[in-house]
Amino acid sequence: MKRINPSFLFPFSILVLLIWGFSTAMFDLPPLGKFMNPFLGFIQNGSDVDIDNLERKISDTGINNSATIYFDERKVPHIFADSEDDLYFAQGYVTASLRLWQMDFISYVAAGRLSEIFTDDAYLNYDRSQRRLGLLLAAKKSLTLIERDPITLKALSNYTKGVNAYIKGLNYAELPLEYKLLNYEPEEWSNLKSILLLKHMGNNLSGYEEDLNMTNLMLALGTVNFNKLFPQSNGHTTPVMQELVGELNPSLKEIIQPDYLNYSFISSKTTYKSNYNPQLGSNSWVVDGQKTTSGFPILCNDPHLTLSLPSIWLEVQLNCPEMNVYGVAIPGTPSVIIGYNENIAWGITNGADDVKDWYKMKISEDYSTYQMDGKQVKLKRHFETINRKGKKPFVDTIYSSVHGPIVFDKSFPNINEGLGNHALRWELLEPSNEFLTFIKLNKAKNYNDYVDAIKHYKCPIQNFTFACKDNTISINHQGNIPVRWEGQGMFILDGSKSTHLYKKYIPIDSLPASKNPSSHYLLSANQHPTTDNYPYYYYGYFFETRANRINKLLKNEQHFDQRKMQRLQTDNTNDFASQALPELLNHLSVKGLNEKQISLIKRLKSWSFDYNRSGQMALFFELWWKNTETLTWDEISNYSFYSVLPENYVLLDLLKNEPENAYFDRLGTSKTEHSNLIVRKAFFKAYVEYLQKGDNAGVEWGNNNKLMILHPTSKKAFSITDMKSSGHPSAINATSTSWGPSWRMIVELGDRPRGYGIYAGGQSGNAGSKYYDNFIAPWNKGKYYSLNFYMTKGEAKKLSKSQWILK
Amino acid sequence: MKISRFIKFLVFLVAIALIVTSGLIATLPWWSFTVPLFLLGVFIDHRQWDIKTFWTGGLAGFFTWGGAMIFFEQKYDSTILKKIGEVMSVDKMVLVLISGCIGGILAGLALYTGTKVFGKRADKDLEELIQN
Repeated sequence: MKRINPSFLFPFSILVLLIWGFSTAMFDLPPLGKFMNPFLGFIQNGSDVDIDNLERKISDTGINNSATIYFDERKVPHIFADSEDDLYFAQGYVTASLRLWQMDFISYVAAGRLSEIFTDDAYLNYDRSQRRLGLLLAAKKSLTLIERDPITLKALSNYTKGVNAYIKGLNYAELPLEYKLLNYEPEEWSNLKSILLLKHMGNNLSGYEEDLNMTNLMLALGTVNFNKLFPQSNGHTTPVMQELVGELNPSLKEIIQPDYLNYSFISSKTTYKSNYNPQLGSNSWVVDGQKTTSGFPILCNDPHLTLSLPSIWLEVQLNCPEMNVYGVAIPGTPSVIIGYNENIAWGITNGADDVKDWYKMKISEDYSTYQMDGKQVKLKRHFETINRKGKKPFVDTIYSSVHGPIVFDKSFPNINEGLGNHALRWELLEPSNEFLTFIKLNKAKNYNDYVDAIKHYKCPIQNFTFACKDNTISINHQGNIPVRWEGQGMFILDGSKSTHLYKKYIPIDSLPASKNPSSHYLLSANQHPTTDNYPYYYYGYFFETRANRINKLLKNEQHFDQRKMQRLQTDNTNDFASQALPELLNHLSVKGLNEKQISLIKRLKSWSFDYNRSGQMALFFELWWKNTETLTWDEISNYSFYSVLPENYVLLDLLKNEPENAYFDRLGTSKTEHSNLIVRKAFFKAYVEYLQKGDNAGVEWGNNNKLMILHPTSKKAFSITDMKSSGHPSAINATSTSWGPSWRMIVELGDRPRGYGIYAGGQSGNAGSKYYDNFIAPWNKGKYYSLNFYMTKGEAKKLSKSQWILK
Repeated sequence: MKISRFIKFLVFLVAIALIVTSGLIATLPWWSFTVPLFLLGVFIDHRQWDIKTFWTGGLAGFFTWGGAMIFFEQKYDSTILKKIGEVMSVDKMVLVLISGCIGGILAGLALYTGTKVFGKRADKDLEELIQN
C-alpha cells in the first residue's frame, strides 16, 4: 500500500487557505472566488437567456393551476391565467424575475433595515429615523387590517407565493447582481413587504411639510404680511374641481394668526430643510368624446417622481376571466397602479395636501407622562430592534402619545432640534388598505365601479382622473383629509390641548370632485383642489403653473387625438415665464446697456418660453428671475429660520401692482430701492452669470438640465448621468434632472382601447441586461410606444414574441 | 517517466474540461473544480508522468476562467464586464486577468497538491518557483 506523503499538507493547506480567502468578503469587495468565477459570478448577470427564451416551461412552482406569460418585443409580460389567484401568483413570479433586488431593497429602505446590509454607522442613524417615523409600524398595522379583508389578502398572498416560488428556484449564478456585489441573499417575500412598498410611495408623496417654518414666519411677519407673502391661494389658479358654487370660505383666502401661536408657546428660531421634494407631483387630464376626433374619451397621465434605475414602474398586462387590464405596476405589489382596461382608464396625480403635522408636547423629565388638558397622561413606549450586519442588534426605545410617535427625543436629538419632543401626526401612519382600490379599479367597468374602488383610498391624498368608454369623465380628490379649524395643521400644534386633535375626516361625498363638466375636460396637476367656495378648510403644497398651461391648451383646442396629446404631454413651455418675462422687461430701461445686452434683450423678446434642450434663452430667464427673487426677499432669507421663499406668483404680483413695496428695499443699503432698480440689478447679475455659463457648461438649456437617473446604490455604472434634457418643473414636461414624468401614458378608449406610453427605464432590473435602460433615450426625446393590449389569449399568442408557462 | 508532448497537451485539455464541467453544474460551490483537478494530480503521480503540474493546471485555470469571461461577454452581448470594471475602478481586461489569475492559481495548486499526496515523482516546479 502506498504511503501518504505528509509533505503534501503544505500545498494542500495553501489551497484550502486560498479557497477560504477567496470565499471571504474583504476591503468592501464581494468574495472574489464566487464573484469572479465566470460560470457563476457577475458575468452571468449579462445573460438575457431567460427573458429571450422563445418558450420556457417552468414547472413545480406551486401555482394552483397554470399561467402563461407572453412577452412582447419590449419584454412587457402579458399574463393570462384562468383564475385571479393564478394571475397574481404569476405577477409575483414574473415581477421577481425582472426586479427582485429592487423590490426587496426598497422594502429594507422603507422598514429601516439597511443596517442588515451595510456596516457603515450612518445606516444605523437612517434606520433609527425611519423606525421613529413609524413606517414599519404603520405597515404592520395595515397588515392586520388587510388580513380581515379576504379579497386583498388573497391577492397579496398569491403574489407573495409567486415571488417566493421565484426566489426558491434561484441559484448563485442567477442571483441579481446587487446581491452578489453587496454579498447577501434575498429573504423570503411577505405580504408585509408589499405593504411597505406602498407606504414607501406614500412617504415620498406625503412626507413634505413646513410646519415649523410656517410657524416661525407667522410669528415674525404677523397676519397681514404673512398672508401677503404666503397666501392660502394666489389668485392664479385653475382648481381641480370646476363649477363649484357656494358661500365663500374666508379661511381659504386668508389665515388669521391663531391665538395659541405666540412666542410663549414656541420660541424656536431653528429650521430644517425637508428631505422630501415638494415638487414631486404629476399631470393628468381627460377629455370626453365631444373634444376628440374619434368621439371617445382620451385620458393622459404622467406622474412626476424621482427617476431611478431600475424604474419605479413595470409595465404589465393582467388577464383572467374577471379582468383584462394594462398599465404600470409598482414592483413588489399586485395589480396595476395606473392603466386601463377594455372599458375604463384612470390616472393619478398627487393631491399635495398637508397630512403631516407636529404637536409640541409637554413631556415629563423621565418620559413617563405628557400633559393633556391639564392632566398627566401616560406616554406609551415600544422597542424597535434594528439588526446589524456583523454587530450586535441595536434596540431603540420609541415613545408615542395619542397624536403619534415622538420622533426626536433626548436619545435621538441629532437631526433636528427644533422638533425635539414633538409628536408626529401623519395620516400615512394610520392603518389603511390602498391595494383594494387598485384591485377593484383593475376590474372596473363603469363610473359606479370606479367610485366604489377609490373610496378605499386613504393616504396619500391623490387626484384620480377617470374615463369610461360611455364618455363619462370624472376627477376625484380622494383620501382622508381631516376636518380642521382654520389654520389647524399649518403651524406647530399644541399637544397639550385636546381641541388640537383631529376628530373626523371630510366625508367622502364632500371631497372635491367633478363629473362630466360642461367644459368636456378635467385636469389635475397638483394645483389647488377647489376655489375659495369649498366649505372645509384645507392646506397643502400646491403648484398652479402647469395646471394653468394645461387648461389653456385643453380649452382652446378641439378634435384631440393621441398625436395632439403627445405634443401636449411633452410641452416644454413655462406658463409662468410667459407672464413674468414681459413684467421684467417692463421694468428694465435699455438706457446704459451695452450692445450685447441689448441684443440679448431682443432675443429674449422673441423667446417662446420653451425649455427645449437646445434653446439658449431659458437659462437667461431663470437666472434673471432667481436674482430678482434673491434681491427682493433678502428680508426673508435673512431670518435664522429661513428655508422657503414666497412663491413665484407673489413676487410677480408685487412687481405688477406694488413697484414701491418695502420688500424691494434692500437691507443694509442707505437708499430706498424699488422694483425697477432690483430688476435692473438682477439683470446685470444674471448677465455675468450667463457669460460664465457660456464659458463653462454652455448656455443651452440641456446643459443645465442634465438627467441624473440613479441606481439605489448611487453607483455610476448602473445609473444614467449627463444626458441633456428638455423640460422644467413649471412646464408640462417637468423633467428636472433627477425627477420628472416617470411614466407618460395616453389612452383613447373605444371598441378597442388604444394606449401609448413610455417610462424612464427598462423592463429588466438587471444592470447587465439589454433591457435595463433601453426606454430612456426615446423617453428623453419625447417618443412613445404603442402599447400592446391583447384582447384575447389567441391574440397574445399570435402577436407576442416569446412565452413562459408556469405550472 | 518521460512522456510525449501529446500526453502533456492531453492533460492540459482534460484539466480544462474538468474546470468547465464542474463550472457548468450551477449547484456546486464555486471552488468545486479543484476536487477533480486534485484527483487528476493523484492520477498523474500514480502514472509517474513527468509534467510540470503547477504550470499545466495554472495555465488551464487561467485560460479557462479568463477565456470564459470573454466568451460569456461575447455570447450575451453584454456591457456587464465594463460596468463592473467601473464599479471596481479598473479596466474590464483587468477583471478578466484577475479572474484568470484566481482560476489559474487554484487550478495549478490543486493539480500540484494531488501529485504530492503520495509523492512518487520528483516534481519540483512549485518549489523552483518559490525559490526563484
